[in-house]
Amino acid sequence: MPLEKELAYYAEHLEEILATHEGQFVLIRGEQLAGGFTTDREAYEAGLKRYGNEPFLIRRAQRQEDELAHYPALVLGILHAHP
Amino acid sequence: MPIHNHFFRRPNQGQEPAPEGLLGAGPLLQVQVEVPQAPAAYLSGQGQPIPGPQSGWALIDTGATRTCVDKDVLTKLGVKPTGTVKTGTAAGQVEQLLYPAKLNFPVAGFQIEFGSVIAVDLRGQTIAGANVVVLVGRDVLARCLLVYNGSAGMFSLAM
Repeated sequence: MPLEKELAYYAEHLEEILATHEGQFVLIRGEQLAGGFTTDREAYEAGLKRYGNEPFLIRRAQRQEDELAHYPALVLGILHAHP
Repeated sequence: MPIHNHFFRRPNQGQEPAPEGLLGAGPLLQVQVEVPQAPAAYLSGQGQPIPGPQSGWALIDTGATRTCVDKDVLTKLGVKPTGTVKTGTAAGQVEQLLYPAKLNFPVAGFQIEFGSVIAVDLRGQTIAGANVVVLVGRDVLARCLLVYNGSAGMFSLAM
């Protein structure tokens, strides 16, 4: 799966990242933290400039996990169900 | 504020509403999924071609917290993932990739650029003969007024 390295880096270095970038959108490629940004758009544009059109991770640096996303009609297979 | 009104009518019966049409199809909109501005500018600056829009249908899904786009469509656009999100499924939590995307609703006259949409497998999701490639979630609806008038066979979306 793409971004595995980046996700592992984020998890392993979370405390260091929080110490310097808590609340910011951090940009990570491979095992390199490229910096923190105020918005995800700024982080994305910086990632494009630095790494080109390649996978990189943008994540808000925070202690709590992001909320779960839900799309029940698709995951329950009832997207095109009819009564 | 652009407003899109979609009426279902019974064929050969003038303007008689067809609630069963809306019931069967749901609130569907024509959509083009496009490369967002930032990667398009990057590709253009590199002298690389910008993949063309991918057309299909978007279903307004009030049960979806975030907007989802078919992963094959995103692959064809050549955009790369920028994150992940945990999603709740019947089998537990699953990590899904997030991609940047731009949705253009040509008939409705709306365009939305997303920092991230959820890549999902929508292959074979056909409703009333229309290939669904996007589920419009509540992240979009948070900026809209949606009126679903089942008895009149119409829905209205204003953004």
